[in-house]
Amino acid sequence: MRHDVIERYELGWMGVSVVLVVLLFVGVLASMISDTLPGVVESRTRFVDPAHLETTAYAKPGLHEENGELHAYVVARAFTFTPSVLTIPAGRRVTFHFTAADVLHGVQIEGSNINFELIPGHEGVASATFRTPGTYTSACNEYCGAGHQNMAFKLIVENAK
Amino acid sequence: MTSTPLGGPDTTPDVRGRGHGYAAHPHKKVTLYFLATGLLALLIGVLIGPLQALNYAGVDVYSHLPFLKSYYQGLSLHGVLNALVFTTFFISGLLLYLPCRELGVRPNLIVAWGAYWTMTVGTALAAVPLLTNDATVLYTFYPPLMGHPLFYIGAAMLVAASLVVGIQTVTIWWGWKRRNPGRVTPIVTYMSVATWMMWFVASLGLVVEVLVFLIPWSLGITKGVDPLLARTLFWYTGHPIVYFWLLPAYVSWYALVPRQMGGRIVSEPLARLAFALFLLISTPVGFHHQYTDPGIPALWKVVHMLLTFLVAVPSLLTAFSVAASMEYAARLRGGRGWIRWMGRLPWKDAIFTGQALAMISFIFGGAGGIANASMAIDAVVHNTAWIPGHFHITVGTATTLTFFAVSFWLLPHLTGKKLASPRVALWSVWFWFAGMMVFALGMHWEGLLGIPRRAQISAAGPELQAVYHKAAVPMALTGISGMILLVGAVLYFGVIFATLLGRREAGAQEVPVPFSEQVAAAGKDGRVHAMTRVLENLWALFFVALALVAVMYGPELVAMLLNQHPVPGARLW
Repeated sequence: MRHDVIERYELGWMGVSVVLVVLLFVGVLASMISDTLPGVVESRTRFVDPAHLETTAYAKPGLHEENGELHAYVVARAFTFTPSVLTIPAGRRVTFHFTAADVLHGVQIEGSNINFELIPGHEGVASATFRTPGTYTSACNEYCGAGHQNMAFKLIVENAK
Repeated sequence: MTSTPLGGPDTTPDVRGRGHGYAAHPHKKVTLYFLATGLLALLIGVLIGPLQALNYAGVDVYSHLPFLKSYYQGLSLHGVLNALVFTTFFISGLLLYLPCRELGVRPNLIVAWGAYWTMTVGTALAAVPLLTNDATVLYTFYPPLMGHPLFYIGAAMLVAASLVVGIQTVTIWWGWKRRNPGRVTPIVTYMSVATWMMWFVASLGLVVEVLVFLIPWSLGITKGVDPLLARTLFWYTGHPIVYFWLLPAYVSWYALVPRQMGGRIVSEPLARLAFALFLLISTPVGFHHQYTDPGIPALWKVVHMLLTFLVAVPSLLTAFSVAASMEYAARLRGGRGWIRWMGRLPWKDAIFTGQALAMISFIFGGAGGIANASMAIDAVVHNTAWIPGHFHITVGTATTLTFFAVSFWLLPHLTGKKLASPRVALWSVWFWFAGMMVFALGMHWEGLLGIPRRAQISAAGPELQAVYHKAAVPMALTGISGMILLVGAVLYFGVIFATLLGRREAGAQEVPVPFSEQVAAAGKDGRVHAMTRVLENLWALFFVALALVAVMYGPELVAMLLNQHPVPGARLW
């Protein structure tokens, strides 16, 4: 094995590596543009005072219709989600708003790409359309204390009546 | 084609029977203390591991344990001892000792021992609240969960002591440079200094988080901490810290393994390039741990994603270069064919095999890391069992198994005692490798099924148990892997204890530090590779790295600092 030969191969390999990772990067951008990744752009940097949630849109957690659009507000607090069961209609776009009231929590809605780190003072916002009726159960996915393993959020998707 | 390593490595022979080599090399002793203390922390941390594996198999042992209050207390100990304490001690010992021997310089022993004792006292202080269940905040200690002040103070001492060792190593290198103008830094020293400089840049976030925010807050001096700011500072350090764990393994793979398998370093200039790239772009990538955090603009997440993909390039270079060194060595040993040469490598030697298996695990770990860089994949796997699956084959195998293999020659080298049982040593690395492979398979699989990470799922209610049932097969794999790893750990620590407690050999030859020679040396015949000459300016690279971090983190961090929303602490365990 000669050094200069190895070095030539190695530089070639480096070129291949750079092209590979740039292609992967472009692929992820494409997936963001094609709306398979909800919540990235919608989560605005707006402060939601966790000590006074009653003065915010989270005063009445649950599903609301605002100007013909469905919005769901969910508050995570040790060790429950409020509401812990949320029922939404199948086939309609729903904008989910999550926040945390005390410490960090996390939620990943089963069967979707919605996955939020819930941080007191901030809200995770994502729109999604659930087409298949059913029950989607998620556990809190960020350690929040002794009852963490039993903190569950259930989404029920129903056919419109 | 051959050359001797540059810089006049310290070849002073040890005189046995008189101070067991400590007379010629008094820094052997402090190195030994660093390594042994790190391994002791690892032993305790590792013994908790099987309990966690059983939890993920749905078996709740914690409710019946007298000495641990909860799964979360066990997990806090496991994470802190293995990922923070073991690594910091071992690396501080290794990356001070190797450059000193390569340059033929003795470190200031007062500074080195001072760092050792600061680190040890810090660890002991942090251990108290961990053991009394007063700092069950896991090794990420995200506020507003608030641990006992001693936990944060001890952690700060651990990090501060590592920085002292780093500054000492860089100072030694700089002194050598000034005494040897125009000479190229030898490869191991170059890599070590680049690693320490990277750690200087990288540790800033953690230092500010703990000193400015967490310690005053936990002492009651300040009322609250902004949780997003704290998380951002944590992950500023939290990603590059994985390179602080990985790069010492790379030092061994690049510069020591070639000699250990009877070959040479095939490509030195590109090895230097890889470390220079790590120094530059290890740090400004931390937002990839916060893709799902609200409150950070999408644009910055995308910029950090691009840099995260790019930081894979030096690892891909390493894969090529180390594999080429292996093939070179195998062909020198008579290896033939496209694949068959691999059989000629010294597979009966635990020092080689441990590191080769570590490299194989890192093929999977590194590939998983590239996948995790993607925001799209992250939405699926964030905070799931996938993540611990990933880092157990990176830091848990690539780093840890390499350190196991290093300890097989370094402990005999430092103590003058023979490795107790090379055969058991060989078995231990195979068990560790097999266990981690099964573990990673189970955990990655569970993650794709949405099983959350670090939850006491074995104690969850029936509703969630019904959901977790879909992951029964991978969960069983996790449980089995815990048992395989327990066997590996018992074998490994058995060999280590038997070695350290064994008899010192009278008149034995010193186990050499396996500094490798190069196929083409960086500074041979006065012809220095153009790239090597440029990369020799480590200080310039260091300041470029700082500038890059200022650009990539500055705007967001300044905005967060000026617009804080502190939240009071809570103890919820």
